[in-house]
Amino acid sequence: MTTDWPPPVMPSNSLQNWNTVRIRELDEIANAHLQVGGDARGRRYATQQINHAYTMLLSSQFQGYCRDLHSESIDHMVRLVAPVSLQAVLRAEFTLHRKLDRGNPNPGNIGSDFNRLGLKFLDQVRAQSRRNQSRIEHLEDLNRWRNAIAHQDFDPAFLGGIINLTLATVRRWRQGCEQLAIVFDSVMGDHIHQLMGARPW
Amino acid sequence: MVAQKSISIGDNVSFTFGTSAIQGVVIEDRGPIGANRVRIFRVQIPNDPYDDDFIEMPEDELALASQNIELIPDEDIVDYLENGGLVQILKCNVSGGKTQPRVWLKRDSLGNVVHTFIAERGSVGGASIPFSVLHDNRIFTPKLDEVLEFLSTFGLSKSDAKRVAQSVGTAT
Repeated sequence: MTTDWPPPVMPSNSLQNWNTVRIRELDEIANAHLQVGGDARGRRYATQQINHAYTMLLSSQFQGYCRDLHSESIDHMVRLVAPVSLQAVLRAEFTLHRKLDRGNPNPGNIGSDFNRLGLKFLDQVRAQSRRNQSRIEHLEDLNRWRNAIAHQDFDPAFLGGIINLTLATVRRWRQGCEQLAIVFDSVMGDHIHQLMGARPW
Repeated sequence: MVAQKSISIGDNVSFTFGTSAIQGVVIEDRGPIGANRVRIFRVQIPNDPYDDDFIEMPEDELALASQNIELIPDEDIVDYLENGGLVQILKCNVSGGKTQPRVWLKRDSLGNVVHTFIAERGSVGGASIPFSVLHDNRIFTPKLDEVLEFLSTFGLSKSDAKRVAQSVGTAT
């Protein structure tokens, strides 16, 4: 994995989990794709189904990561709040109707949930690197495909004019998610540092 | 010193919320993602008879709690049912159908009597709510016996059940 953003010295627990457990699970389905080799009839159909499964898994793992990071950020912020009796109240408020508990990790949902922690989250993400805008667009595409697969509704008008998903496309989305995971970690680390006066990770 | 059993999914737990100590049930282990790798749990907080609330809490702020199913004295049951409880319950079955809602009474976190549709939370009751027995927020007279029978499932005597019904009123 390469990145144009220097990873933090000590990443969040959520990013460590993404880099180990979640990435390993994504690797397993990537390996499954490689094992469906040869020229036998039906291979193309089989790989298409694996690409769909890979897409679903990628989106759900990235959703899990974003949800973890949101919860971890709240824990760091709330622990420093006085009086202590207010802490649980704030925890409840910060997670009330959290979109990442139910919805896709599309940029709209991510921005909406993280903005409630006191920053313009996606603006901060874009400010880290100009490449992040295209990564955000990849994330949007990934989640459009996730919905199309989940509902078996492949409308080319919503899917960039294509109905067949290639492994190269899913890999591109995965690279985008891997970069964004690092940037999200960094943005929240900086934000909590500024807000609370101590680095959370 | 006996170490406290670690918390897991399904446990009843208590914690401080604002000025109150409240209880809930752990429904998800989010893993050791909190500060200093503390485990974070998602806890479901009963809000009977309405939808439950949810909160994420770190393990170090939770304590294991026993689920206390308290007996409720008849006078408290009568008081609740007379003061809006019965009408609210009866309004919950106006559409009929195969699956008739069942209802129990319980105490909330502050000791008030409330009703619940979840069996494990109930202290008393469990009968199906009679179908469409209200008219203008009063008991439809032809259905009075059905309502009295229903009230007896909360352990009320005939006289207490009649007292509740009279308090709510009847309509023809």
